[in-house]
Amino acid sequence: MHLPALAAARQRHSLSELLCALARAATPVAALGSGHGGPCATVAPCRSHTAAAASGARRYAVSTRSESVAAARSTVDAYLEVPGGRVPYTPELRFLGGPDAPIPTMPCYRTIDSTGQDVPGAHIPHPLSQELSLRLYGAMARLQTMDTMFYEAQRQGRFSFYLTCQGEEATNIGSAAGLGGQDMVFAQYREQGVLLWRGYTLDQFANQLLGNALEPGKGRQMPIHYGSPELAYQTISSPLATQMPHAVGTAYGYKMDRLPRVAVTYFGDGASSEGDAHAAFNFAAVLGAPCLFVCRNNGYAISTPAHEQYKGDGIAGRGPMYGIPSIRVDGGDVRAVYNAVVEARRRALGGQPAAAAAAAAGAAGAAAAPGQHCSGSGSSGGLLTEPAVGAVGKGAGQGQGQGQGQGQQQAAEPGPVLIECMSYRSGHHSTSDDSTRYRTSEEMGAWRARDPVARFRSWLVRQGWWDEAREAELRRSTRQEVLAALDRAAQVPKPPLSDMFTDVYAPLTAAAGGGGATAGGGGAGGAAAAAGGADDTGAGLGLPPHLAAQRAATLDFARRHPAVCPPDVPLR
Amino acid sequence: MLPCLGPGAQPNLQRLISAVQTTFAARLSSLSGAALVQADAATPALPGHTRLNLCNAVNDALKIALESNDRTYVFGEDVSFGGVFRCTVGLLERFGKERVFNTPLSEQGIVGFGIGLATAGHTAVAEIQFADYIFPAFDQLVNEAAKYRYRSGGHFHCGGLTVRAPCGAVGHGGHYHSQSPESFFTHVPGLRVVMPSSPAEAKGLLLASIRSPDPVVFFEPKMMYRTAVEDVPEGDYMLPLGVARLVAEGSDITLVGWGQQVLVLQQAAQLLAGEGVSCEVIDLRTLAPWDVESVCASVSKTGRLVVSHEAPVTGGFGAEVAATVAQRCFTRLESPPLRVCGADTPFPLVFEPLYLPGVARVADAVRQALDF
Repeated sequence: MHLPALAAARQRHSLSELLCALARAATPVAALGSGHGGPCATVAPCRSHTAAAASGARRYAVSTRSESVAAARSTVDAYLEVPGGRVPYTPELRFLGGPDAPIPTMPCYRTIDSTGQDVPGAHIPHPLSQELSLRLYGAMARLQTMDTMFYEAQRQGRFSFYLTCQGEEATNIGSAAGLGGQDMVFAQYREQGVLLWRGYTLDQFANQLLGNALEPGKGRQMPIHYGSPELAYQTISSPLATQMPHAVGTAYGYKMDRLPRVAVTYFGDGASSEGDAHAAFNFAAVLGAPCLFVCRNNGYAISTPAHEQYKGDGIAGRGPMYGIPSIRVDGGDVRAVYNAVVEARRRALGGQPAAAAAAAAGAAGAAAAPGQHCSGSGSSGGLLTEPAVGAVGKGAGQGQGQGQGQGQQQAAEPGPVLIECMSYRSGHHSTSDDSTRYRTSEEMGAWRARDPVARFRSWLVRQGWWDEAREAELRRSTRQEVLAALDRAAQVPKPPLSDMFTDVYAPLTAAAGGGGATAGGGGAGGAAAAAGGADDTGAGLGLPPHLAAQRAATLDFARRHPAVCPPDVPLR
Repeated sequence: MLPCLGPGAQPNLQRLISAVQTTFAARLSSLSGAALVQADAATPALPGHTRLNLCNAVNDALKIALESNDRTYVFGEDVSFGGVFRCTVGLLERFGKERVFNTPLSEQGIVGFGIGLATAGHTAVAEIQFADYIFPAFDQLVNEAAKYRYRSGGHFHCGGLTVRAPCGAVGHGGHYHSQSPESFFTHVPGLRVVMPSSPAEAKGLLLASIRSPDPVVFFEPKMMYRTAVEDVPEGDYMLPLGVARLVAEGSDITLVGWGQQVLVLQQAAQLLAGEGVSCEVIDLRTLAPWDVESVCASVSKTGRLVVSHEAPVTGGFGAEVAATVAQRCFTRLESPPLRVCGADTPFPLVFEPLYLPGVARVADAVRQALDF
């Protein structure tokens, strides 16, 4: 019934306890690990004589020369100095992790409980205004309705494939709302809510699903492989985790350009087992890339449950070992996800955590709601010091929580942050999947009862901000809009056959193809390329010679064998 | 149509390549059959040129790429200290650790990171330490880099990515320091695949690759890093991608190769010239998309083809060349197109001289074609 990690989370250890436990196990020096760094401090090069450094190191810093030599000798025996940092010695033969010395489970941050009530004492640095709350809920409800309608339309045969976000609406919308509008998204495939939040229209969704001529990808990818440069959303590719190192590269580029942006990558619990996930975590940490890793731990990779995916403490548990600040969040609590992402983004850009910044600034900021620790979204440093970027999309809520402050806090180094959103994939993996073959209807029913949309609706109703009439109207109008969008998309013709051959390479121009400033000029191949497809309306496509020839042959074949042609594809 | 194959502005290059020195070549010939590009040490460098080996020519190209575009980055395993082959020596000191840097040891991470950098509008020059180790990055290259433009309808691309990888036999590399995996990548629409055959070629082709609007896999024949020396034009220049180079004109048979194998073909042509055989030697330079027109024009003239590469014969790129020529030049052919390639075995250390398609094997194939 429960995710293994959630079940284990009942131990309820705090992160600081975890770190201290690690430090105690790793070193005989009691003082070590009591400072800020925990296990990180034990392996980081401790040449700055911080409070976390051992007494031997401090002595070394103030001693005379002879004392220094003696101290150095003792240091040699106290620590192993290696290129990876300083490691304390221990006479104990002790393994960390496993049944004898288990690492405490990282707890799951949340602010709204399963009945829609505030969690007492929850830390909420970015409280939700009524306006933002309604925007969040509206997007979640629209996402839920859109998913249901598109799923049914696929079952009716109107297009070939679909998958829903059911159970993960709060993860989608809460995280999207916490990002800046120009933060580049490298999604997996179950994040259509992020696009919806940024303003992707139902017509755009429908066009992509039907693969018509208005679809940016020209009908060449499966349904649900959305992409939008205007909304800073990289086109989906099916292979898992491959997008993760891309996000790190883009984030590094932002840092080099001194842009106040992060790259954010979404991935599932299954994808986290791929080598690309490890590479991305490690590269991001080592290179200091302002990258947000948002894991949607929804319990299943198609049929494989999470407890057959990993043995350790989920995904977030890996983060600190990579040197990445990490948090586990209740993915069904939109306010928790939103707050975690806003804070993660601030950290990624080298800004102060909101709590520390607020304390330093005299706790200026938003008024605290009763029973909640609140601080302003105030000061920041690092890359946050540039003006906030403008919204790029038509959607609401962009720019929420991003770098509003212009305080004078000392900037930290930019770097990645990992957020693990614990949720449950309430729907099937896709329209090609029947999940009742590998999980019980009781399990699914129990989780459907925890519908994150209903949970947030209960909270809204408690605030007096929502009612049945508005709910009914929102659902009714969304259903109508989805149906209308599908009907419109079905009227749009398919892309022309020539689009089968475009975009494999950049269009050849006089200056392209590496022939711009050549020492020798173009040869026969270059001449053929320039002439490629000149006949039969192929001119201007800029195809290389072999593709120009293949296009012409395919057109000729299609005209002679119309029965083989896909319906509605213009033969040009 | 006789193709204008070479960079006409480099007649000196032709001259230098043909002036093969024998000191090292003799040793090499006995080992693998490869010849060398070797400038005459007794003569000064040509005006406007610097005498460089292929390693230094690559270094020069990287320096120019970093100088001419400050959003260009060079990275990979051990790049900071100059690289295990020394191709990146001095770049960190000159351009700083933000633009020239080590990465963790993960080929898929290196290429994936480079794709992300490139799709954000930067120019990423990634180094894979040996072509033999490029396979962990295969998915990133095949499913991501190659399809980035196509899958987004041209709205996103990673054309700023160039992946450099040293390849080929060196005499002692065994299974995992000798391979030439180019044909794995020529099978992938969306990638450009380049392999230079001399220092001056390497510099011009690498700069063109780095500035290409498409992702490029750039294989560097590592045997030539030190052994190939010639006068390389100074300053910034590019050689066209997708355009083959006419290395030597001939009338009896066309020999097609790329990378280090071009020099083997050239040496075979010189050997056969003594027998009265006139070989036309073509350096393909770019394998994908390749210069079909130039090769077919040459074979239409000579009527015969030998294509040669170090990689195993089955499924190698020579098969593509031979099949295309068979189809396009069928009525002009005087003999079947022949492939002279590596055997269909893993790279066998002590048997390397017999595994490799050396000068003697190429010459045998030419005689076989002429006697058909």
